[in-house]
Amino acid sequence: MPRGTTVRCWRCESVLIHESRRGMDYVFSLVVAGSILFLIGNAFPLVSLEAQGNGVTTTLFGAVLHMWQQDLKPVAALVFVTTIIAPAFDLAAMLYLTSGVLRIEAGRATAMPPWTARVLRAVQIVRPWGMLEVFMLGALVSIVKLGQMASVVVGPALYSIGALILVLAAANSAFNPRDVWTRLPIDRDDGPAR
Amino acid sequence: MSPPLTQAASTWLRRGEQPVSPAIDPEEAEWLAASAEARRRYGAVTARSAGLFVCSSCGLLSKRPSETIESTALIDDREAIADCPRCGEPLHVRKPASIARTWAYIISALILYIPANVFPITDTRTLFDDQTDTIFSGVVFLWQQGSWPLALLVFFASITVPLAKLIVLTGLTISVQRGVLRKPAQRTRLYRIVEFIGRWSMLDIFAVSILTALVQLQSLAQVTAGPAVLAFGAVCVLTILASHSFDPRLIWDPFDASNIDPDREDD
Repeated sequence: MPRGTTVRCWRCESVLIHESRRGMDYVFSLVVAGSILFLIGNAFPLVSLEAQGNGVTTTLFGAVLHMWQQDLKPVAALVFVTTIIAPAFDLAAMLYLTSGVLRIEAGRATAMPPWTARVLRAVQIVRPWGMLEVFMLGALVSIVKLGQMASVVVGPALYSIGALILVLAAANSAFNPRDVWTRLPIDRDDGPAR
Repeated sequence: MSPPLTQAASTWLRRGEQPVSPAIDPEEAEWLAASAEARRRYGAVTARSAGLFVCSSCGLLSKRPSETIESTALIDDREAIADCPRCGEPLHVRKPASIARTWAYIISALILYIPANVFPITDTRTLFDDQTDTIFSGVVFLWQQGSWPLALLVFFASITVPLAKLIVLTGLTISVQRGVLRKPAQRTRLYRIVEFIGRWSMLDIFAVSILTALVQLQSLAQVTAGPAVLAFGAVCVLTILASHSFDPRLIWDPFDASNIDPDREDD
């Protein structure tokens, strides 16, 4: 099928196959950029608050940690998984898969790396739980709520996460899982190379 | 492992006819005969009626063992009878125990929806007063502050989305259980909308977690999270799980056994 083709279900019009217009090198570069943005988003302060000489700064993980200490452990775990674990796994897995495809395309490998099927299956399960874009709006709501109470300074991490949302969305729409699935052999156990 | 679809079988499926030359493999001949019978019975060419599994993970088609093709019990199978030969995903004709699981998640979420809205979600202590807020009073606060676009956003994400999701999923599950033969395309679209907007109900959880981490100015002001956060977080997760466990193909299954055209115009 030529690039840019979309195949839809004739009954319910759901997209069955979308052959991406972009190549795997495009997806790979976006995932590399996304990984850098993710590191910045986690290392730098998210928002700071200043009121009458008192200042408080929080990072993404700091917010999780605070919830945990407040004895709201399930909520802390939920925030941790949806904003840190899921995006981190998504990025790492995409690096693994796209570099595997690129190695085959460059002729430096003949087959996808071990555990490819397991990794891609896990990506499809984990991806719906990555909710950075929802987190972004939640952060915006809390900033507005605080705006009248004290002066709020938006940190570099929030800008970085904003950019990461755009980069991840572009990478996901350009990545066609079929490019990986069709490179896997049929009727063979997936696992470490035997 | 389930046998992959052979060239001969896929050609037959594409043309929708019996192969001209007899199948080489007796096992394949048996499968083709059982599959042809199922097709005569159901009419539409779906993976189910053609005696095939479609892998829910990688999309590969593989053959169902001949003796299981005619059995409708497989629709509710909890134990996979085979794994996908390409990616190893357990193969099911439909999502396992879809209706029972969807109901379980819907009912749990409905119960928790009440404490999520009744109990306070934040407790703000300042030098002058101590104020507790529920999800709804938080929306009112934003509205009075003049930021009505955000107030509408929070109202939509925290109150409308979870409730609309639960109502729509309840309706869809009942319609599937009754084998309703009306407006399948619209019902499928409704399901897709619910699946798409579901995640946005998490918005308030994130807002509260940032607020409580930030507003720790000792004696001056302090925000702590209330018990509703736990209940509301559970509602978000449960409604997402409910929509994941519902199988939209169940909406279309009754049409396979009937002579009614799903595309016909309803009154």
